[in-house]
Amino acid sequence: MTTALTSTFSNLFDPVRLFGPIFDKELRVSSRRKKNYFLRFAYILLLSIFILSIWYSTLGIRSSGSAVYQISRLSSAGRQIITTIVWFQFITAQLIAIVMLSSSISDEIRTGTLSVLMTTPISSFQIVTGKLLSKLLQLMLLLAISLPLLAIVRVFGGVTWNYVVSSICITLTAVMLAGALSLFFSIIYRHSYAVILMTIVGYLLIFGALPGLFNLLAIKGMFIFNRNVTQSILALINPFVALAAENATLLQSGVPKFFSWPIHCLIMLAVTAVLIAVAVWRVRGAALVSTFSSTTKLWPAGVLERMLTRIFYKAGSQSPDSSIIPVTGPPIVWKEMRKGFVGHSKTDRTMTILLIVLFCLTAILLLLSPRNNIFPRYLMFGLYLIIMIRIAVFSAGSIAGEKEARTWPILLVTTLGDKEIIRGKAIAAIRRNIPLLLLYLVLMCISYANLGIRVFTEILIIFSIAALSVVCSLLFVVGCGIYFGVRLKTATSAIAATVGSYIALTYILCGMFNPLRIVFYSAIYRAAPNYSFIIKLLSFAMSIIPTFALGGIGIFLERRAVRRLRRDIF
Amino acid sequence: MIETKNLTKNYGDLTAVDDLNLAIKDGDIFGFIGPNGAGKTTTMRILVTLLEPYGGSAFINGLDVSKHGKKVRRLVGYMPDFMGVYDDLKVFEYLEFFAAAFGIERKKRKSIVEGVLELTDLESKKSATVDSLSRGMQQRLGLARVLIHDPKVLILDEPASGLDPRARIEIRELLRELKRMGKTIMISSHILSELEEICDHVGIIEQGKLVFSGTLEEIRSRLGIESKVRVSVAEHQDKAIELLSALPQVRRVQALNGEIAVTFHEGQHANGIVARTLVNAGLDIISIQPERLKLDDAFLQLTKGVVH
Repeated sequence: MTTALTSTFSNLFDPVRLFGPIFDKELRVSSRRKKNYFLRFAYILLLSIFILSIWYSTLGIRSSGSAVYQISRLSSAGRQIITTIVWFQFITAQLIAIVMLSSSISDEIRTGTLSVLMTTPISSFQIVTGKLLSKLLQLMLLLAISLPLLAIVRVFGGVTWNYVVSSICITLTAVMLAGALSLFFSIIYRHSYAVILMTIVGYLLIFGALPGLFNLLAIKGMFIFNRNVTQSILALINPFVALAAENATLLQSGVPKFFSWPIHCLIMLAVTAVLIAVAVWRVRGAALVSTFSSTTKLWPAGVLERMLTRIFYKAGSQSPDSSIIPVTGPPIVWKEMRKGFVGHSKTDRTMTILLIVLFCLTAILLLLSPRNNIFPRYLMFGLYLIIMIRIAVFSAGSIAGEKEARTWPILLVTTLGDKEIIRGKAIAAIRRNIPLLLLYLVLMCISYANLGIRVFTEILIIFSIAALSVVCSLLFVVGCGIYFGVRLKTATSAIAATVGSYIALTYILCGMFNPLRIVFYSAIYRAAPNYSFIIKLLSFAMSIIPTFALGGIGIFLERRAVRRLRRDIF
Repeated sequence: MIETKNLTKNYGDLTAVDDLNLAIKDGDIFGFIGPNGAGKTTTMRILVTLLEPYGGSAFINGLDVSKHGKKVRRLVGYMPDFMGVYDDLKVFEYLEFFAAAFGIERKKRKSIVEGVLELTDLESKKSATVDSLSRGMQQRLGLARVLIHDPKVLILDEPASGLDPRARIEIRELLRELKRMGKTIMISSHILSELEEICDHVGIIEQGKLVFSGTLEEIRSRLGIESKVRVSVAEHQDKAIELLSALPQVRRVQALNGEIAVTFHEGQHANGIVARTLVNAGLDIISIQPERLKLDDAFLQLTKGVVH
């Protein structure tokens, strides 16, 4: 009797039985993939560097003072360290969830295995939940890694258990939502990089620009709710605002009038459940529907495409023979530019419309927000990241994508030189993003105008540094993208490796908590606390040198790619 | 035109091509046959400079493929077994792109593209997007692409795989036309009967090693199948078997489904002896048919069916 009860109980809660063989298969496959081990290693490494640099920047620089003073500062330092770690985890885990689930269904559709699965007794629910939960389980392992660290930092004091639990819960539910959204888009779009971009753009729009606009309107008294109610609602439905509110509670720096993290988590879980339900409903249809995308042009994108194509790509000189465009200039550049700025697929057009909306909203927020409001600049950073991801998609995806489409060998048996191929891909990746870079330039101008700097030389210096930073980032992303495109077999891996390297290296070399910069600052401060000029000079140098280094690494990787072009063809 | 000397290629512990020696003459159509995983595609990839050999060397028109990659690529047109297409390009644009990639001058491109479109009967599709073409059309487009720079050598890896009978016949006719144009063609296929009809020479490869290379006649001679006839008599089959078994040239006589299979000793030929013996004995002959070797049979007899 007891054995039968135990057996029934264990069967009831057996994940394989609940979520079907897909869950089991995904776990098996993921344990065999080298990249999952590499991901864990990279995550731990980045987290360790991050914690060390935060620690050093909080406690290391100004180490003067008595031991009693030092100990008294520990609790405030602990609070700062723990909130920074939580933010790091919150953003990184969501990004990883988006990338991990971006190919979950789209790959099955592309390879035709989803149709095969549909002919088995496995239900749509088991397919969707099996995919989602197997990946989330791996993410939970990553999050669990930092638990001991959080517990240790708690020892310094000032950090409540309530904060530890609430931040973990908010992060977990946000990760589940990001994963579910990525999985949902992977049913709609064929390529995982389109899923990643669409999810990030959607995220920035839903959780960034729109709430920012509502908040601004509420502050100016132009919204249906007043400021407090708006902020409370936003904290309940927006994980970023929710975590910010929890951090504000910990740091005692003002909280929305009404905020309850358990209610927020329940709302997030409900939204995730709705997304899963829609995904379950659509997944069978996705297996049956032809993967060919419609050629119907959406009205605004169609007009935009024609306009931008005329301005940037000189493709207006069409051959009189219908719509055939003659090959002009280097063939690789021509082929890549043939797609234009908007692209040919529905995905590309939808993405363009969303990006334009995002740019417009950011510009409005920059123009109307008070000077000390840093939020629109975070949005600008998000847009900058999207541009870089888009460049990574075009550089890494243009080579790895050819491998996936099996066109790479036929390109390599032409008489085109290796340098010619690589340069062509690199030039096209930059040229296709010129309209976005120009839009970003407009945002930069608005942002600096809004700062109220009046001295021309200061404006010139700030602008030069910003432009240099953009150019060097561009060189890095293109070089790195081309390199990983040549080395790796799939476009998704190449793009993820490029974006991951860009974020990690930018943080390590040029970030606010750049360990090198902190160590230098600390040393200089100890040696010459009053020489502010030297500190300024070194600060300038510490900003410029890593930026140049980033560009240099990009050029180096591009050269390596030329040398390795014919080594990993198949 | 194509030559390999002790060509070897390893993938880790696996030897895909093992000491391969091939020689294909100018203007020949060479059929490359072997089971899956025998090393056909690897050999072809080395010849078109997509893979580096581990040992030995390969030459196209006297040029070492490892040392003169760019010159070799100008001489060779390669069609892989699974060919991808740029789905966002139109047929004309696709071919013009490859014309530009092969360094053909802009002024000449249009006429060249139109020429290959005519040859491959794709003129009506020149404004269609590449991904809207049927599989057969895409294969023809692949052949058009291969011809765009007028190469001397064509290396075609299973060009007819997955095609319907009509498309296969069209591809076969196209290859005959290319032979008339003086191209040297190396072709691999699993549809052996097709190779039998168009190839001058065949090479049979198994486990990376060349099991046989020569003409179809040479294969027949080697397997001794040429000296075999099937006889059908109106009556007295037992008597016919008895008479034929007594002939010194005959090795074996078997009754098979109402017919008599006569196998001669090696080097011996029928030369009318069967007919003469039976007629002299007063037996009425319905038919005498020399048994021809099918390439499929030769393939089965020469290979062991072992794959890596």
